[in-house]
Amino acid sequence: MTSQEFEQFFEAANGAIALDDLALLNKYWAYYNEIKPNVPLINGADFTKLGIKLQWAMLPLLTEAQINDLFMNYIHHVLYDPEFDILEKFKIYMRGVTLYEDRDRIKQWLFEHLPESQARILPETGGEFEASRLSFWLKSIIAACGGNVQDSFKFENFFTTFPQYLKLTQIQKSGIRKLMEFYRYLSVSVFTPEGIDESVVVFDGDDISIHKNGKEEKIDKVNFGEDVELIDWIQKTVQNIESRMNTAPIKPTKTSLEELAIEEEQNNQQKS
Amino acid sequence: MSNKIINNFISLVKSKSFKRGMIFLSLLLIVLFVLPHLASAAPNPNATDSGTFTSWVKNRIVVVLGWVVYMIASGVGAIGAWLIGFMADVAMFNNIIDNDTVREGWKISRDLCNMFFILILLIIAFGTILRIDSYEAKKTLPKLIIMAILINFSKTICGLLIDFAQIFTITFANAFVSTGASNNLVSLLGMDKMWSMAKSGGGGFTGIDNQSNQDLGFSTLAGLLLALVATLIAVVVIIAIVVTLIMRIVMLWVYVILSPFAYLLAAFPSGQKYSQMWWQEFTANVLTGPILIFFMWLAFSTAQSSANKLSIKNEIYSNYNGTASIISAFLTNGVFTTYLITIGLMIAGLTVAQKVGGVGAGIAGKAMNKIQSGAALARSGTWKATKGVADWTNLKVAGGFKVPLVGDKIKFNGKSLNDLTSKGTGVDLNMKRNWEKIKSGAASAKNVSLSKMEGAAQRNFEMGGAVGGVTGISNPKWYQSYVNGKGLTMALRSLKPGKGFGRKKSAMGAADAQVNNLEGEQMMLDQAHNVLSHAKNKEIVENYEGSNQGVLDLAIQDQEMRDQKYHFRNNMSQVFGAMNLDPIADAMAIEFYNGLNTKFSDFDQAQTIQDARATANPTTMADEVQRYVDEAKARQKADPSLALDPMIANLEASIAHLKETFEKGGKMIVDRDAAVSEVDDIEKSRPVFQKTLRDLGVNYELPLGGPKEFQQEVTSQGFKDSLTQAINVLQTKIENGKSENIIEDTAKVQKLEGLLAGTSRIETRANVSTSPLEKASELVEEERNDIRKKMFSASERREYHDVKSSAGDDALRQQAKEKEKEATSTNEDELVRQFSAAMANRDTALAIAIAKQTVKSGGMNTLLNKYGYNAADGLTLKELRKIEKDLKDNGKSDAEIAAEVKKKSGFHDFMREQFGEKLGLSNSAMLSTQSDLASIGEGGSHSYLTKSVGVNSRSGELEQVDHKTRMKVNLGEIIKGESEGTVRKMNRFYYGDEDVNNKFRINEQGMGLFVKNLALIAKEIRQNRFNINAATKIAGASNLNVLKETLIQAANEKKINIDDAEFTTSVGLTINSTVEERIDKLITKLQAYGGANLDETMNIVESKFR
Repeated sequence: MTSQEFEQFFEAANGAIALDDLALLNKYWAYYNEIKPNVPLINGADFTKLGIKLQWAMLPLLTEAQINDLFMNYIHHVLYDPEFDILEKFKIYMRGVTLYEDRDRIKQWLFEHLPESQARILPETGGEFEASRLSFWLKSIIAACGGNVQDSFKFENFFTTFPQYLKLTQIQKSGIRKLMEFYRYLSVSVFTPEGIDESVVVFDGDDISIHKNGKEEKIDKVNFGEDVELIDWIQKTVQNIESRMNTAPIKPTKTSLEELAIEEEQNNQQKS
Repeated sequence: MSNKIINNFISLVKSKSFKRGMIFLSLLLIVLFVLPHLASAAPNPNATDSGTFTSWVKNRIVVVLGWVVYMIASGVGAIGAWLIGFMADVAMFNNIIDNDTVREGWKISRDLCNMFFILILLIIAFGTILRIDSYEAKKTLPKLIIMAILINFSKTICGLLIDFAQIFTITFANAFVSTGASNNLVSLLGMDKMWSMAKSGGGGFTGIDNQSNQDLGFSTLAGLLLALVATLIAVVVIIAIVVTLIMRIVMLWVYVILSPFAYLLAAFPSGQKYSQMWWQEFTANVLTGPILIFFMWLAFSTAQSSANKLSIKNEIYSNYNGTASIISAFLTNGVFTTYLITIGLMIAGLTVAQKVGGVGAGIAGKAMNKIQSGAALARSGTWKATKGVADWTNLKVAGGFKVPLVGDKIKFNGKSLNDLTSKGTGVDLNMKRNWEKIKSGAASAKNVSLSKMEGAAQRNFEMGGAVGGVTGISNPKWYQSYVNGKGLTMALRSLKPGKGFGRKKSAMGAADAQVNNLEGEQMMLDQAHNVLSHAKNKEIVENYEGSNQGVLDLAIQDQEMRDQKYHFRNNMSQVFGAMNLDPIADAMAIEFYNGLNTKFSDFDQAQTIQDARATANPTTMADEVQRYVDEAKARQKADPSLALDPMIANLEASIAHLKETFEKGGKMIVDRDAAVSEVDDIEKSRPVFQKTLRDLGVNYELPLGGPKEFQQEVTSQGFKDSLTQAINVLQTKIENGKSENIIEDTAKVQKLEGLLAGTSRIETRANVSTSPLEKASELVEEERNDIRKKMFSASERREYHDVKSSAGDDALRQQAKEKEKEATSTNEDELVRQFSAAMANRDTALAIAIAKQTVKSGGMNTLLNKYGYNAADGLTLKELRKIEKDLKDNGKSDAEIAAEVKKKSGFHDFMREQFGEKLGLSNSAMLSTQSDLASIGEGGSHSYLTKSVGVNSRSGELEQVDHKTRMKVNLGEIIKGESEGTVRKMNRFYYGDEDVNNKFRINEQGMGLFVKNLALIAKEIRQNRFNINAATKIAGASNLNVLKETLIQAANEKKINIDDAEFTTSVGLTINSTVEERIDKLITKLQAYGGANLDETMNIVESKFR
């Protein structure tokens, strides 16, 4: 497999959506582990990078220890990637933990330990050794928010006033911001409504609403023109199209998509 | 506040000193009652003078003691009598709202609150400017206005609520006050009889002075002591009630005065929790009154008659010389039982008032919370959302993330000063934390001693009898035992010696007994079933393993299959390569080829031929191939230069061979595999059954044999005798009061009786040993089902089912979590195999763990397909019933209905049938498992899993979400988060469902996504960034056709804008093109994109298995 293909798979898995490919990726990962010394296409450093990226992509399948290790030491591999949403990925992992006590423990561990991480997340330009470390940034935001990162006003204020932050490039800024948002998410216990990551459908008589992260949203009609509900409209339209297809006469030539479709349907019916 | 009083009272009852006192008094009573009789059991007829002197001294001591006890007891009694009268007055008090304290206090707090509104408006203004979410005007202003109005009506609202409660309170109070409350209660508590004696040995108290009869003196003293203890208990209880009622009134005044603040704070996000606290406390106080008074009334109106049924007839014991000894009239004619029941009802009233107050307050708090934010919902299972605002411990957990105190704010190297001092010196400066530590330490020490005592006392209580009854009272939860119908009832019932067991058994409840019985029966039949299937499987294994030829066949078939497959695939690709079909037919061919490849891949993964047969249907495949062979023949005819003939011939031969091989795939081979694993399991089941028997006290070794041997053994007289013997041993133990746990032992007896019944069931099936094994198996299976049904209804009757299932959810999750270690594979096929094994072993926890892992690694569609369900949401029970009914009305046969239903089945049905029916999970456990799987799937690749379970906020129960609602909810949410990234990530399951034959069909959600995101999707397709997985599947002709028609219709009805600039650029149209042309262009692009990626995907799949 070339590094390009590898990247292709990584991209596929990166969207948390394509978990389908994760199983496959996992296999490749095992494969890479085996032939590691003999890979001509990729040098050692690239390989490590790919490996770590791959682990990030597979976050929901990792163990708690692996995840802690990734967050403590390798967060910079994905922090500045605009395509990679750390928070969303982590939420998917959290939803896989069915005991709420466990979720809380995982969150709290990271919440307490991340500010101690000495991982280098920014280059040490101009002798700014301190400011290149993960702990510097998290401790700064904690200090700026007076210990409570849930304080929106102080939290936002940080990004407009903190001198080291203002010095960063745009990409670096977005990465650091992502980190802070993630840390902020960690500070919410899952035993509060805000901490619940899965969307819960709630029926109250005829009313339907969705609750997620402490917010409630009423589900109204997805309106479509004047008072037409989209789903209703689609159901009716598709029914019409299908009945037309079923009753249409069979034509000998295959020229249009419609006729092809009719044939496909008939074949299906015969088979079943 | 009233809750606190009740709590204090209960903790007094629970307190060490109180309990010690009670034990001491109980012992004293026993000594006084019993010793005199013992002492005089063998009187010396030749008593000397010194003997007379001794008895004289004894009598003096008795007289002095008697006087002291009498003085104290009558003093306490007088207080008690006064308190009873006072209680009636307090209960009738009704001037809660309309008095000066409330009127003036409320006025001031209302005016104060009205002033605050200006300030809040300012805060909202700033919040809106600074964009602090929770303070935005849009959210807070409407609430503020409503609350501003409500503040001025707060007293009226409180008044209404209080009046509502008072109607009940006064009604019940009137009912007993009018009948002369004080006199009535005095007589119910037997206070008028405590001082009089049953036999006129000395006539009332003077009896103690009667020197001529020393026994009389002792008995009288005993009677007085009893009176003292009884009066003390009664007075304490009455004081608790009076204080509760008074504090309720005072606290209601206070809460009414503070009511404007409750409304003011509700308008303000950070004040909501205080507002809820107010509501909780207020409701608790309002509710306490009617409940307490109701129980008082109940005591007045029913205690006497209830007690009569329980009363003890022979309270007066005969003396050694035949004359009746004197004892307090308090113990005669049911006065004592009436006393116990009255006190019990009063304490029950206090307990229930406390509990209902708490629950009511909880409801009020929740309701208020819902009004304010709509966020307060409690759900069993995964939805453990708000725990109520009064849950301060919980806030503290969250508070762990906050820094509340000054000491914590001083930071050094990222740690608070308090943390550092605590770690370094062991001295913690955080006073709050210290206080918590002290509190929790004290509480745990208290709990340990309490639980020890509780255990001992509870055992005594359950043991029953006079000793048990008396010593059992020291159980701090004795009143609860009483309320629950155990404990005291049991003790009272068993006061009469001799028939203890029968009485206890009836106390257990008929339903309980039946469940136990049926469990025993089921145990026996289960074992019969195991033995039968063991025999059946063993036969298969032995027959098969006996022949080497069979193993050889397997190897040959397997190899042949593999050879054929490669041969076949090569031929196919050659034919396709040479056929030079037109583009659309080509696309179809490629799609087919891809499908074929998937099937082969499945086959590669499948370990047995049976598995392969399940995934690849030879007839369908052959038919499909035949179509292309025909096509190839036609091409060959038209253009002889193609030279397709040899390949076609080869292909045809392959089809025939393939078909044959598939059909040959031996049933025997598969059955052997299954049988081997089952035999292993069943070998294990014998020791388990044996252990169960041993636990039940049956000493009988069951040798393992075939069904014949088993039947002979279990129906043999020896086995039955050992069961009967075990029953007798247990019964004797229970009747002699030597049983350590009477309830458990009774249940054991019932189970053993069930086992006996089971043996006779097996015996009546005389044909078990003679009929074919399968038949016998069926018969036993029928019996098992029968028992299961009965068990279910019995369980329902004892109303234990719900409690168990909701309590079981978390336990089940915990078990599943432990099994997660066994389910770590990310290979779908491996997981599917593991799942099948778990299902076969009925290992619920493992099955759940594997299902979770399958969803995580994206293989749920494979699992569903494997079990014959579509990769779709499927039918809820309601939908299923409707479809069945409709089809039945249309005159369809049962088989047709089943086929139709199967066609529509999906995730819902999978959960119901596999987890609910096969694994026997309760409905709530099944739904919470489904909800867990849905959460894991959320944001994952399988859209049909998400939001498949919802919560009914009225009943608090989980429900499966029907198709239409799910589509609506899902679509609404996806559209809201629309972005290029989202569109790129959404795979095929976001656009449609897949049936068991991997046939993909676009659904309402997919159509809706196209309709709503048309421009965005067009752009992504143009840039070749649309999700490949989705594109390849949608690119089938029939999906594209429906999609095209729908889009055209939507455009014609002006529901979508195809003149949009982005869309126009994306499809690259000319100015004059029609609606049809534009949509057509988009569809063609999508088709080409999906088709092109098909090749790529195929290459990757190829490389995967190369």
